[in-house]
Amino acid sequence: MDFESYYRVAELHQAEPPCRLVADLLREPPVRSIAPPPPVIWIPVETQPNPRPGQPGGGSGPVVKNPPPPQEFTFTTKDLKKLNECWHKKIKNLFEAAENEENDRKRKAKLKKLRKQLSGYVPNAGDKDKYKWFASQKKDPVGYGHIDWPPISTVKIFTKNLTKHKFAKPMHIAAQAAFQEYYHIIQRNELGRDPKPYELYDLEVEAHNTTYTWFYPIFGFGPPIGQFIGNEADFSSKEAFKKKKEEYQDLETELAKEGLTEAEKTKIQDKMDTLEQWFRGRLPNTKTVGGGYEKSADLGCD
Amino acid sequence: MRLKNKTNSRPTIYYWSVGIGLGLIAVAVVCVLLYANGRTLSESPSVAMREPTVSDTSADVPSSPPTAVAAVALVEEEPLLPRLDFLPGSIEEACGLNDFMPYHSDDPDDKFDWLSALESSACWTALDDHISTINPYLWGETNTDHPLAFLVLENPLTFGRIFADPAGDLARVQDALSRSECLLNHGSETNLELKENCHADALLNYALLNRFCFDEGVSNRNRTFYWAEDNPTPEQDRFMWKQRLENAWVRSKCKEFAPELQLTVEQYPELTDLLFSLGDPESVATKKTKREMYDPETLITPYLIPTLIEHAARLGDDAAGLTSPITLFSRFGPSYNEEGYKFGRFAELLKSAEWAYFSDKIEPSIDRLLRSFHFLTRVGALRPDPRDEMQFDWEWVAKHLCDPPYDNSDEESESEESTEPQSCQEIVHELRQRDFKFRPLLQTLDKFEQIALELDVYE
Repeated sequence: MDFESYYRVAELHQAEPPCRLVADLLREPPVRSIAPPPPVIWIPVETQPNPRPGQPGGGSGPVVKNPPPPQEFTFTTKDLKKLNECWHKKIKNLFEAAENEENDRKRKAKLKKLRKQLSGYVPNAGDKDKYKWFASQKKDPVGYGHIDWPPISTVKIFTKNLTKHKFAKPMHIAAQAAFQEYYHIIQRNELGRDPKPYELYDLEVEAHNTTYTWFYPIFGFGPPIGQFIGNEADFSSKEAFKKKKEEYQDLETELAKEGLTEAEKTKIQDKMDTLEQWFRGRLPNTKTVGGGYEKSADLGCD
Repeated sequence: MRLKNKTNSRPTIYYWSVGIGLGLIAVAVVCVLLYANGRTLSESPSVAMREPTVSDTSADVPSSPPTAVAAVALVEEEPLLPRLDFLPGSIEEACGLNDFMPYHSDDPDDKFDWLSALESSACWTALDDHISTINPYLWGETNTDHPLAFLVLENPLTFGRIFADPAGDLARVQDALSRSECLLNHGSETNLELKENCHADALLNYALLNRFCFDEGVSNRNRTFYWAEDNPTPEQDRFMWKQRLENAWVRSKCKEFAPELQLTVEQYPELTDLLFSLGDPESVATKKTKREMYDPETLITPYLIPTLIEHAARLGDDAAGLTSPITLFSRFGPSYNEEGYKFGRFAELLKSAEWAYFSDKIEPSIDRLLRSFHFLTRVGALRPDPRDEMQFDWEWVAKHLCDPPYDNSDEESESEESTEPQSCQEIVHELRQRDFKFRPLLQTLDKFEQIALELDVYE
């Protein structure tokens, strides 16, 4: 029995076994069943369509209808893997096609253009620390993706957040998010360490704006989310930011000093935590539509 | 004569009037000054304190003369904020938060020794009482869909539980993991009957002790910040200090525990080796790969703490069975990766589509509340085996359903149509018109209504 019909039950005799169990047990005085009760049926979250009872391969258990799915868009780890393989392959194909150009002048020009459009791209960047990619069904306060740096080395793309912009296809956002997270791995490899809190802002702007230009050559249409421009891209050069950065760096130096008491360390750590929250709370965020974006366009990754 | 007299009397009346008027004004001024002074001396202006944390206990009451409060070294030049009324015995009162300098004050030489507040026994005790009841997963959370927020447990997870006997917990963990029946060798195997015998609770306690005392657990906790440029109110200012004191208290408390309790490869080679081998085959393979790439010491936090927690869930600790991965900061911050929810007695519930829908923070509507009430009725029903029963935290439920902000409120809609949001009260009123006869549902509705009214989230 689905929820809709369940809450319309006016008389208890209409209830199917699970409901009767609840109702019977709530009768006064409470009666404890001695015989094993019919199982309470929980409806699993379906990621893949399953055969229903009564249908071929569906078994003979009680008929349980699922309520309408909470999200229309489904994006699983399998889908993410497919998407990642697809766009990396497209880049490979683009370079191969340019390399195979017979006319030397044209070949050089094509390669030059591609390198410019796909600047910053490094193949197999995730291999170094063996990153694992997941499509997370959890909600995240901001953003489409999240990276846990080595040694955890995981990248999560938040399925639920991909549907937030109605002007764009969630799959298009997924692609742009995947680019950006991939570029963060490249950044981390170059740094050779975890970024400092005051570096996050610039890394974010760089990752978004760099991978923004990848979208068109790979898919043939513009990206859904626009670039960071003006103040949005420039906050780290403002006095307020620079002051906080210096404060944080001073605290790092202070904490590294020898002979600090526990109380002194606690105070320094506490100030650093506060500043870290400040930096994390000011990461750039844009909702503008990218130039040349076509909602109806296909990624060509099916 | 009369005319003369009358004419002569005008200045006299004028002077009398002016004199009486001035006298009245003077009396009034003196009265006002005396009254104001008296108030300042005896009580502070009453300001409602909004308490954003999950387990806060302070309330808005008239102040009484300060008792033994913390003596904090003040920076003389800094002006203090208006004094607030705090409940006697609360952290704010016992730690003397009214005497703290404004949170964002410039104190380059670190003259303001706020940490010395912890030296006062009243302050320490108030923090102890407060933090001991806090669930570490919900510390500082005001709006979370974490399963631990929704369900009431027989043995709740609190800092008090974690800090009660860490040495004993470690001994119990070592004892349990030395016995084959507690190892549950196959990654997905669970045996909830082993809860007592295999000290499932100790596994969770020990894991979280390591996270909060020997790792970044305190730094990673959720905190509410009001930045200087947003001009925080005095209440918000004091609240930030309170959070700071909470952190400092936990850090100080951790210093009470021997460093030998820390789970490291060096201190516990056999135990860590065993923990690296526990879990599902894929996870063990990942850990092995990472061990080859990194110093195993650095892998303790991301891998062995979740392993301990998941093992506790597999052995029947209810709190461990409600853990799920958490992304701590929005972009690059760390995550906690334990997935105890897959193994405990709540596994089927937490994996269901109904739970996914219920735990979403969605704006109230008739459909939303009706589905939620049926869900609550069904989950909260009595079971043949009382051990299978589930009890909701109704206060959390009421806030979850009726207290904004909602996750879907900022979503952009393609359609121009926008419906006026309804309050929970209006929705419940409409539902009552439907004349439901299913008694458990009506009981749920009554219960919800009562709690929502008490919490003032109904309208």
